[in-house]
This record gives sequence, structure tokens and C-alpha cells, in this order.
Amino acid sequence: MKRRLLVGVTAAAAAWGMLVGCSSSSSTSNQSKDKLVWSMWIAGSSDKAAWQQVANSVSAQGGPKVTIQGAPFNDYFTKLRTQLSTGSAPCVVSIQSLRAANYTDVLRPIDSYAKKGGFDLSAFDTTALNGMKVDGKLYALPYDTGPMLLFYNKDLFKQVGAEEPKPGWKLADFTAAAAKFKAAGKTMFASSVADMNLESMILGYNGGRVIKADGTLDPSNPTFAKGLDWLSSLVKNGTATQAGADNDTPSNNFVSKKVGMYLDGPWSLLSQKDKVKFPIGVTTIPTGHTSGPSTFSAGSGFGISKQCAYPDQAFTAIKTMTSQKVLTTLARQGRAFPGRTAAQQTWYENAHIDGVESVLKTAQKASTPLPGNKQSDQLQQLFSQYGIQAVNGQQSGAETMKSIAGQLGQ
Amino acid sequence: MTAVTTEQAAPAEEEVVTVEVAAPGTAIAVDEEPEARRPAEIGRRTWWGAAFAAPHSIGLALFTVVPIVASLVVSFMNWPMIGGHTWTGLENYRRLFDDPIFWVVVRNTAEYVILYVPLNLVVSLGLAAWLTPRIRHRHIFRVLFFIPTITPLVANVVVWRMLYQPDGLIDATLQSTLGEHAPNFLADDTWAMFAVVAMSVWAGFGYNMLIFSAALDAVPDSQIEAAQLDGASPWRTFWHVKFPAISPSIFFATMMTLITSFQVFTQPFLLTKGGPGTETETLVQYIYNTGFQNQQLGLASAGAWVLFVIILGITAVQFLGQKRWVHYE
Repeated sequence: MKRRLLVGVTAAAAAWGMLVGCSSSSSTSNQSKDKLVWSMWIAGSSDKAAWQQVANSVSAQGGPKVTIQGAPFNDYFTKLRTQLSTGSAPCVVSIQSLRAANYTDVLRPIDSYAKKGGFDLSAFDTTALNGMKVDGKLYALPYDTGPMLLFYNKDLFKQVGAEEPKPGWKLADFTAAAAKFKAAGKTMFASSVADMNLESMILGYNGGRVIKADGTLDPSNPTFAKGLDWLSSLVKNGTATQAGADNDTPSNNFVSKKVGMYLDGPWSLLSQKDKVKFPIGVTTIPTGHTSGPSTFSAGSGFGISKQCAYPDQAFTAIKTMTSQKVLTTLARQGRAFPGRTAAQQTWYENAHIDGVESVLKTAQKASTPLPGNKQSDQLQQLFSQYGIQAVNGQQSGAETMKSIAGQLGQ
Repeated sequence: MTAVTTEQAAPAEEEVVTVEVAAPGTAIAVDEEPEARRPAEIGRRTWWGAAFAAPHSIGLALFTVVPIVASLVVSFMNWPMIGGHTWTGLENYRRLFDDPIFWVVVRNTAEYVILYVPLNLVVSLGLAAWLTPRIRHRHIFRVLFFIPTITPLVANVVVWRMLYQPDGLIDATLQSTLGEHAPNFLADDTWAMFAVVAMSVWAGFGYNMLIFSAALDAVPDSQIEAAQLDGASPWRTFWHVKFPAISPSIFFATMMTLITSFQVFTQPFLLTKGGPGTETETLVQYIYNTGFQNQQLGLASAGAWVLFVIILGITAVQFLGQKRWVHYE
């Protein structure tokens, strides 16, 4: 009898243990001075290996052991918000510059830590560093940065007889190239309604913006609405593809040679170069009726969560993770464009793409960081729902922006 | 009878239980002492019962009952994802009913249900009726039709997107045959909902088909033969003999399909993200956006409870209506 009871109790305990174990397998509650958790988006095994190397560099430099907690990019921010609000916050948090403003309530400003250790912030790319600031406070150390660019298929440009776009090209050049594509029965440009792509293209066209430089939303901006109408005219006259809700379609259409050109950031350039079966070119966004900045820049970096009990150790970790050595190694591996100026040269050399340095330098000069806003995640979702109607010409830009403004409560 | 009888040598204070270990397909019989049991023994048995039920009961309480009660409480509170919570009574429900988008998504969800449920039932019942034992290799067809149900929806969506998109399979076929462009199904106000429904029917009919197919196989041959001897046409045999016989299965399938279709999320979210505009945004996506994008957990919980009440109401109406057409024999 006793033996049976023992078996019963053991079974119940095992079941309970499994239940508890399931819920706490990825818990961050076991962080300590020597052991920190870093939350990061991870796209695949090569991504994982690269980030693991970054994590290992921290302990190799005598810092705490850093464990990665990964999530696919599309789920990362939903998961992060939930994590940071439930008290199981990882100490080291990866964040995008345009989303930093969304997370100031759960991230720790790091200016004082940098000052305390006499850490030299000037070695970072100015645009990258500014992107990580909200209301003058720094929330993360940037590991990558970059302005939005246009990637193009050199073969297709040659085939249709269009002139290859030079950095700093104008709207008239863009239109002329589009005409050549049309004459050859090809589509030049892949429409996209992803927030940064849409906003960058319109900024270059007429300077219209939906998020002002100070980060406030301006969805009823008439210039921006006109920019949407222009994108719609590109679809109508056959220069651009119809837009869809799937943000990966433009890149896929580019790789499969259905379009000659699409918008992306330097963070994708080298991986895209390996993927395509044609020589890849890169250029700036064409400038139209604007004398101001003609593209938005964004980047990602590592910050410290507010709830982290070991902020000093976490700062040591992010310092190493964005060090010259680590960023140069990443650049050599053909990853994102580094957030440190001194590491950028390695990236240029490793890119093996004609004129990439002058394109990036021109684009950086013409760029401004895309500021974040507490509602920018919502804005992104609304663009993917309503932006399609504007770009595909089912609604005017003004009508679309009115619907979006209504949903944003503006 | 191939049953083997084993007798356990048990300690003196324990009862002797004779267990018949049955061969597959035969019944298991447990012989027990017919006399009244002592109270202590009953107590002990209850404890054992509780111990066996415990893992599931604990799981049910922790992961089902507690969250349900919590979401009801949260629906009466202003509960942003980060920051303080305050009791606001019915404010969330008032805000919900005042939001024009909420009514748009309710209408969209209703449109989806009205299109999807009958189509799903017609397709699944039609195929089940066609797959009679007379069809050669019917098992292969059954498996083929069931495949969409067991493949992950995310993978299905990727394939369907390739069919629907401009220059996709449908568009390319129309261009090469008629020289006309197909509509941009997923980005067109008129077509988006139909496109989502068509994909959902393809992915979802297999389950109901299997239920109907099994139910049709169980209709006694004698009844069908009697109808045929009386000169009933195949059509009449189906509607007046087979259909009443499988009506409990149809009722079950209708109810489950209705419930799940009110909860539709994955297909529109992955195919169209709810767009163009709000054309395919459903109630569950609205709840998801409110909770995880706008970070208003209170409002999202209120939305979830409204959905629950709608489903409960419609299920109740169905139960009341079943007396008219469901035959239990």
C-alpha cells in the first residue's frame, strides 16, 4: 500500500514538475551578475551562429556569460513587450532605432553608464547614435545602421537599355529608366507598403512625412498623401508592381527577376547579393521636389531593460557586443553595415560591389533618422492594411490617410 | 473468445481484482465484488481517482479556468500592457460599441461565417456522398482530401498567396488563355474576402468530410436496400434515408464549424493582414491588434467576451433548432 502511495505521489510530482518546467524553460529569472539573458531576433542557423559568437565575446573579455533568447523577427516585438511587462525581462534587449520611442518606459537610459566609465561614444556613426536617442537620452548602443537604398539588377538595366542609376540620381532619371523598362515590357520597381519603405520613397519624392522630426504623428499631412498618389501613378502606368500585404514579396520578385529594382536597407545587401543570380547594384532613392533629406535611416542596437538588476554588468556586455573588434568581425562575415565608423571600411572592402562606398556615403549624407512614436507599431500595421488601397489606386492618398488617422485616434 | 484471465496475488488487506485482458477489438470486462464496500475503502478509491485526475485537473485550472476568469475581470479594467490598472466597470464595453471599426469587423466576421460554413458543409458532404464504397481506391481519395487539413496553415497560405498574387498561377493562366489580367485577389476590396473564404474551405473541408464519410458508411444497408426496392431514386435515397440517418453528425459538424469560423484569424491575418483597409479584418484580429499592438488588454478582453457571447448565443439557437431536423435513433 505504502509503495503504491509512493508511486502515486511521485507520478503527481513528476506531472507537476512537467507543468512547471514547461512554463519556466525560457525563464529569465535566473539571471545573475555573471549570467545575463539577451533577447534577440534570429532568422536562421547562420544568424544564430553569428549572434552566439557575439554573446561568447562578452565572457571571453572577462564579462558575464550571455545567453541568447531568440525569436523570429516578426514575433520579436510582440514577445518582447509581453516579457518586459511581466517582470521576466531579459537584461540585454535588442531594439530597432525606429522602435526605441515605443520602449522608453521599459528601457534604461544609458548615458550615465557611458559617462561613468569614460566610454567614447564618438566612435559610433552619428546617425546611428542619434537614432537610438529619444528626447535627448540614449537608450542603446548601435551595432548597425544605414539609410534606405534601392537595390537593382544590373543585367536587367543593361537588357532594357536603361542607364545605370548613379548615387544622387533625380526623379527625371528614374522616370527615364522606367520608360525603357516599359518599352521592353518589363516592370522596373517593386511597390512596398512596409512603413520605412513607403516613408523613405515619399520623403525622396516630395519631402512629405507622416512622423515629424520630433517624433509626433502627422497622418493628415497633405504632402505625404500626394506622395502616395505618386506611388499609385507608378502602379497605374506600369512602372511598379501592385502592392500586397506580404512585405517579403518585393524582395522575392527582385530575386526572381520579375522586377528590376526594390527598396531595402544595407543590412540586407550582402545576404541579398549571395542570393541573386545576377550582378546586384545599389543606389540612392531618387530625389524629386525636395531639397531636404531624401531617405530615412534606421539601425539596431543593444539596450538594458529597466527591470534588470545588474545594469552595470549589462552595460559591460553591450559595450563588448558593439566593440570595434566584434563589429569588424561581423562586417567581415558580410552582415549588417556596422554602427561604428571605423568598422565600416571592413564592410565596404568585404562587399565587393562596385561603388558601394560612394552610394552609402551619399545616402548617409542625404538621410535623416526615422523617429519612432508610441503608435509606430500600429502605424506599420495600418500601412499594411490601408497602404495597399492607396498604392494600388483604389483610394486617393488623402482618403487613405484619413482612414489611418481615424484609426490612430487623430 | 481469446481473453486471458489473470489473477493477482495481492496482500491480505487488499481486494482481489480479476482483470480480463481482452484481445484487440473485444470488450474489456472487470469483475468486481458485488458486496457493499467499507467506507474506508471507498475513501481510498476516491483519493486514487483524484490522484489520477489531478494532472489534468491542475492543467485545466491553471491554463483554462484561471485565464478565463482573469480575462473577465480584466475586461472591466483599464489594463495597459505596462503601467497601472484601474477599475473602469463597463467603460471598455462602451468604448467597444462606440468604435465604428468594431462594427466593421463584426460585419466582416459574419460575412466570413455566412460564406464559409455553408460552402464547407456542401463541399464536405458532397465529397463524402461521392466517396461511396463503390468508388475504386476511395481510401486514397480520402487521404488526398484530408491532406490540406493536416498540413500547417502557414504553409498553405504561402502556396495560396502564389496562386492569388499578380503574375501568380491564376493570373498567369488567365493571361495565357484569355489575354486578360485576373484581379489582384488579396488587395482588391471586392475579391479579398472571397479569396480568404476559398482558401479556408480548401484547408478546412477535410475534417467534416471524414466525419460525414464515416457516418454514411454506418447507415445500415438494409434501410438503403429497402428504399431501393421501393423504387426510390439515388437522390431520394440520399435525402430521405441517408441524410436523416447522418443528421446527428451533420449537426455536430455544423456546430463545430460555426464555432471555429467565428474565431477565424490565421487565414486573413497571413493572407491579407486584414486588408485592404479593413475588408478582411475579423473579430479575433481586432482583439489581437487591440491587445498586442495597441496594448489595451482590458479592451481586448472585452472584445473576447463579446465574441464568446455571440458564439454562445448562436450555439444555443442551434441546440434549440436541432429538434426539427436531427434524428437520434
